[in-house]
Amino acid sequence: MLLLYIEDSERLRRSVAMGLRAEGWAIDTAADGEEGLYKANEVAYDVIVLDLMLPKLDGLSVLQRLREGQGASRESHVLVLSALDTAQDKVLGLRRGADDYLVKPFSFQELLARIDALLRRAYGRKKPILTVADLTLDPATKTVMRAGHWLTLSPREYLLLEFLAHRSGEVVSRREIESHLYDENADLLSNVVDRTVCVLRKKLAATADCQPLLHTHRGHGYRLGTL
Amino acid sequence: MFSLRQKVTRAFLAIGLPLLMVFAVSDYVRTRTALYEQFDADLRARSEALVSLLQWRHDGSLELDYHGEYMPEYEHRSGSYFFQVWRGDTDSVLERANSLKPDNLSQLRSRRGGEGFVNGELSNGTPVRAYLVDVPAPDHTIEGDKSKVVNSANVAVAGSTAALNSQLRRGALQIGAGGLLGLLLITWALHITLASELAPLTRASELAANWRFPDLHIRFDESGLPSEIQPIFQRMNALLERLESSMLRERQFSADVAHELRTPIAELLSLAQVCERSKVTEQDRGRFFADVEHIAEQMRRTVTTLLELARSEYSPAVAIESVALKPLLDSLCSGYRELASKRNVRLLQNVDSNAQMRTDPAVFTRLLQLLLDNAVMYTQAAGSVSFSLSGANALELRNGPTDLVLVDLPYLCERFWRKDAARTSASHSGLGLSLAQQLAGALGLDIDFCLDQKDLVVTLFLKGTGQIKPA
Repeated sequence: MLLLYIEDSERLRRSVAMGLRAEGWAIDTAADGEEGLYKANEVAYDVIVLDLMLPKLDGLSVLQRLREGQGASRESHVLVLSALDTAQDKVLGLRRGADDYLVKPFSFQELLARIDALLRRAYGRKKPILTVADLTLDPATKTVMRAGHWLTLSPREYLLLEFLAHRSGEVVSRREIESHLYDENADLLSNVVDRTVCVLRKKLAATADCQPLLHTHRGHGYRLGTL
Repeated sequence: MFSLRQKVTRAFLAIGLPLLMVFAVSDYVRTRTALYEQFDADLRARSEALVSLLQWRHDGSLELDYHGEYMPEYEHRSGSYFFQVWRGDTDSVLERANSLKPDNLSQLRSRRGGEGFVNGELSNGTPVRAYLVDVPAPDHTIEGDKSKVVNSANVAVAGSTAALNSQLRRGALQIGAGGLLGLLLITWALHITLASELAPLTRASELAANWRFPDLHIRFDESGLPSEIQPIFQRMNALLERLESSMLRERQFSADVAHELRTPIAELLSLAQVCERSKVTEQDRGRFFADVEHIAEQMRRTVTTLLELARSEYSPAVAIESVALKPLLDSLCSGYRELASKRNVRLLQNVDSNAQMRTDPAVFTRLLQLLLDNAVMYTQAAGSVSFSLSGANALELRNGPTDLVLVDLPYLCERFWRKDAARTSASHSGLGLSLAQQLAGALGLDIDFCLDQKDLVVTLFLKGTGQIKPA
């Protein structure tokens, strides 16, 4: 899942980005409003985490221009993360198009939970657990179970599986996978997605009688689901 | 509750209606009097005409030389004029108009009791007004039969007042109806005019009624308001503007405080939680600790300044002594040379080596340190910071170029105010100049900030406890 974090405090930006990457998120960051808006217009992010007091272009203006514009992330879910804590600030932020509002200082766990909730909304789900046939994913604990067996996945493999699970039944192109799972810092090799899919497919075969779940549609992409 | 328009309309009606009634009644009375005078004059003329027709003969008898064909108005049974001539002594009728028959006007005389005008009514119900005249017999020798002698005659000429009364009733009705209609039209016009003229006031009133706190950006439209009310709304607009400005400043202050205090805590918390949850490399761990140290230092500075501000509010005791300015400034500047050099800022001081002043050295040094710190930090690269004496009683600190503009000057000493609204830089918290102003006050010094093109000029006017004394 690809997330944009717009924050002018370099230390906060660095630590939060590191924490989110460790949770498997692909993170792009921006240090001011203009840069943030530019990136949001260029890339379709799953979630945008936005500070309000930003240099060059304040957060509310970023939000407004994002919602009114035709950029790639105009429909993305936005979580405002700000030190401004009055009801008026929250109302203003939500009215301008934010989907959630979290006040600094914040618990990192709460931030993760809220981002997960936004992601569920982005893919139109209510349940926190993802289920595809006999495969179960828990985004909160990042655990996967198939046919009663726990699977051990790397963060990247888990992220790919979760992304495909969100869109189960659909054929997802490699390009979409790349743009949602790898941030601007990733040095992508041409077959990195294919290799991850290959490993994931093997791990999904938890038992000998398990039906294949991850299918390749040559020239189109991959699909998670039963045949 | 009545509106102003309703009240004025009601007041107008309350005054206008009685006035209208007075005018209508007086007009009616005047018209009636005039018509009756005309009527009476007519009757008088008619009676004189009849009297002139009376002829006393030599034998004392009386004859009326009356010919109906010459006075047809008396001849028709349905005529509206009547006359009667009768003997004054016996009341026997000598002549009577055909139009009068069978009535007798002599009763009117007995009611009147003499000559003059009298109102009455004929047997058929016709209202009449009569003029009664007594005509004495001429004074001459009477010959013949004494029984024929008429000593006096009474002449009564009457006219029906039915038409006149009807005309008066019509007139009264016209006056009443016309007046009432006029009053209604004026009231309507007044109502409409008031509505139109008071429209700006109504709009302002609606705006005030619908105003909800804290929506302070509304302003009353002063155009078109009556001159008596305009100052009220002008003052209200001015107050609203001040209130809005204060509210905005208060909100900005809250936001600034929130940012200054919450952001470092958020950074600390985030560093700790990420470090705890994630596997971090030794290199990252080292950077995390460096960050924690920076954050702690930043918070220490903020807390120290806040405490200093709090202490300075209670008029701290100052110990006045003679202070040599140049060594003090040299010492201060030397502490900032490295930072200035790093920022490519020249640090100068042109204070006479003999200049000295009486002040509290510790407080004064802190004051200058705050000003110098601010000057070095916010002077753009290749700029300069310089101390100099200005006149006999002023110490000037000039730094520039800066990115300050004229509208920033009133806010320079506000707590937590920073030119950088996003407050990205963590080096300052926006409290330094506020504390400097407090300390200057404690030392009895006036401090002034002004812009000379892009240079910020801070002038300390020395008075009271301190005074520059060039040796």
